[in-house]
Amino acid sequence: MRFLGLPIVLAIIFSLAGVAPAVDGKKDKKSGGKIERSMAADPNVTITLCVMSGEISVRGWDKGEVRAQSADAEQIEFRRIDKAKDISRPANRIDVMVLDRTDPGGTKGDCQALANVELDIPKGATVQVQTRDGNISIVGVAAVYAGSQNGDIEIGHAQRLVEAGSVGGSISLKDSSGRINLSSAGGGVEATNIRATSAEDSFEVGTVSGDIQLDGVSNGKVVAKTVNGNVTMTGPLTHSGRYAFTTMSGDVTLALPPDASFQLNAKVSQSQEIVSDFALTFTMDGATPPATPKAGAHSEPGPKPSPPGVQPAPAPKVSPPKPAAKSGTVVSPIIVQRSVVVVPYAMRRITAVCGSGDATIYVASFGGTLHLQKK
Amino acid sequence: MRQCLDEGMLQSYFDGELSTEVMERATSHLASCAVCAAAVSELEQESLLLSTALAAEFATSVPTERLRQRLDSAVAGLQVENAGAPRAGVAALLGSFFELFNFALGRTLGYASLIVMLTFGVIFAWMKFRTSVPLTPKDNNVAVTYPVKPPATGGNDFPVKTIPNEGGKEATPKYVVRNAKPNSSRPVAPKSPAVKLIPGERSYLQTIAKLDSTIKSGNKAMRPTLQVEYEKNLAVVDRAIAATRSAVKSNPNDPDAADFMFQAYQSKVDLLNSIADARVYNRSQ
Repeated sequence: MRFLGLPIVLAIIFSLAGVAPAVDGKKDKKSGGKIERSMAADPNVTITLCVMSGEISVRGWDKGEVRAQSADAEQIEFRRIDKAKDISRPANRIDVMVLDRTDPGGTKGDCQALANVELDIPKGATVQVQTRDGNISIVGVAAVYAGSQNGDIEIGHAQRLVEAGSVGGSISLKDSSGRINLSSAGGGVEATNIRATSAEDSFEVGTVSGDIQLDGVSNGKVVAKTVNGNVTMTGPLTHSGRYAFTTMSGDVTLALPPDASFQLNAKVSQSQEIVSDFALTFTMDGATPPATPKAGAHSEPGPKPSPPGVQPAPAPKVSPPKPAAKSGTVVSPIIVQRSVVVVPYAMRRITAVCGSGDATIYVASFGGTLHLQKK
Repeated sequence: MRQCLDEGMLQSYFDGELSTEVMERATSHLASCAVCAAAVSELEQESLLLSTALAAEFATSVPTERLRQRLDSAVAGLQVENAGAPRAGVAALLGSFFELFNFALGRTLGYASLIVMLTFGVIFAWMKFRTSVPLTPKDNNVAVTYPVKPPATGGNDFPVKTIPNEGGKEATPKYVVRNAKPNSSRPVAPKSPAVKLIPGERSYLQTIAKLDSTIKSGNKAMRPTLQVEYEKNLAVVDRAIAATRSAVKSNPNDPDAADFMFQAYQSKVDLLNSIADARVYNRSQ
């Protein structure tokens, strides 16, 4: 029996060696029907991935390697596209090529796969992903370039740069910093808790018919443009920040803290309203000056030059404020109602100051209403 | 002379054309030669026969060479005098005119061919004149014009309208009937109304046209989902452009209105850029 035990043990060892998968960073391995591939990468590696359809999920991690997983793909290849002389060094640019079951040989080329792909890449990496119909989710990566035609894009915890664009899908950006550029034709754009890493970091967002919702955007320069959508911005204004909002037919709503200090430069239609919870000191108005509100308000009339080509309109009506309460001054909203227009169409420029005029807000609305709300 | 005289010699002897010495030798030979004497006798009989038959002719007086020269010079002098002299009176004209109606065979054929050529020429000219004349409308002061080509943007403003026919039922003609000047002899394709562009607008239109051609190029049709987004958002920006453009026209001195219009154009350019990128991306698949 002693002599039989040794061969049995050896047989068991050899069988386990044949069954156990090879743990090699560069070889494919399949676990639970999911194909996986990994490769050593530089901490600031640039990863590119393109699929025709499928969900793309990218996560940043602390490891110095890139891992790709897919349950639908037939094969995943890592193509090193950096021109490093020393191949033994970790790759600086990697192209992740996904081959699905319809094209296992990869004859169709890149961006042809129909597969869901999960990527784990270093946190300091730059990722460039593109898909036609799938959704994109990217979390915890330094720089992001994302593009989709019909899919939604969700980005979170980006640290340096975000550029995302979609034709019909929506874009959501959270808890990120750096230079931001978001665009969507038909979808809406939401940005929450965005901050700048340097004074040059700008935040630009544009849509055609989608709404723009900004909450806690603290970049020094914020530009939001839309044609038919509404623009809503909530949160404090950045010290000496510059904000520009442009709409054609949508409303602009700025929900600002009560202690907000800003200078307002607005170009609005004569037929549209400007509703403000803040006490505005008008320095220039294309229409006739508003009436001085009663006690409790701080707005004062100033010189009112008429811009050329605009006929003066009668004084707008201002609802009288409520009496001040005993505990503090209560200022009712000042509503600058529409004027009686004499010309078929006319624009008017309004320049007003609230507080010390720290931040600068430019609003251009061709047919929408401007709301300045206290929040 | 021992040899017999040949025929030429005999004829010359008979005509007296031989010299004296030859004549004497010929005579002595004829006296001794019976053959030559018989030949001379035969020649003498032939000559007598000819002179008898042509006696009348010989009797006619024939002018001499000198007389002939005198007559020729006289005739030549008469011809020179006639050429230098002017036509004389109406009779000469009429005479030359009526000579044209002298229907000789050659002249008749010439007249006939001339008439045929003139006839063909008239027929050809008439046919050509007939084709260049416009269709005469029934109503006065109305000219028929050709249909206007619809604009490249695909707007539905093809200017075709129905007009009632004589039976009172509405008909849909191929052409647009418009009032025109009565003296217009040729149908002229109507030109699209000139659109006065606002300064700075042209560059946007050119860019938009290029992007539009990029989007529409290629054999592959646009994907339905992309097509829906494209058309939906394109309608939005086009409405914005139209509204702002109208405002600019109403307020040409207002720079803010122009600024809005250019922003609307820029929105369209951005939209077309994204759609064009999507088209290029889809075509590569």
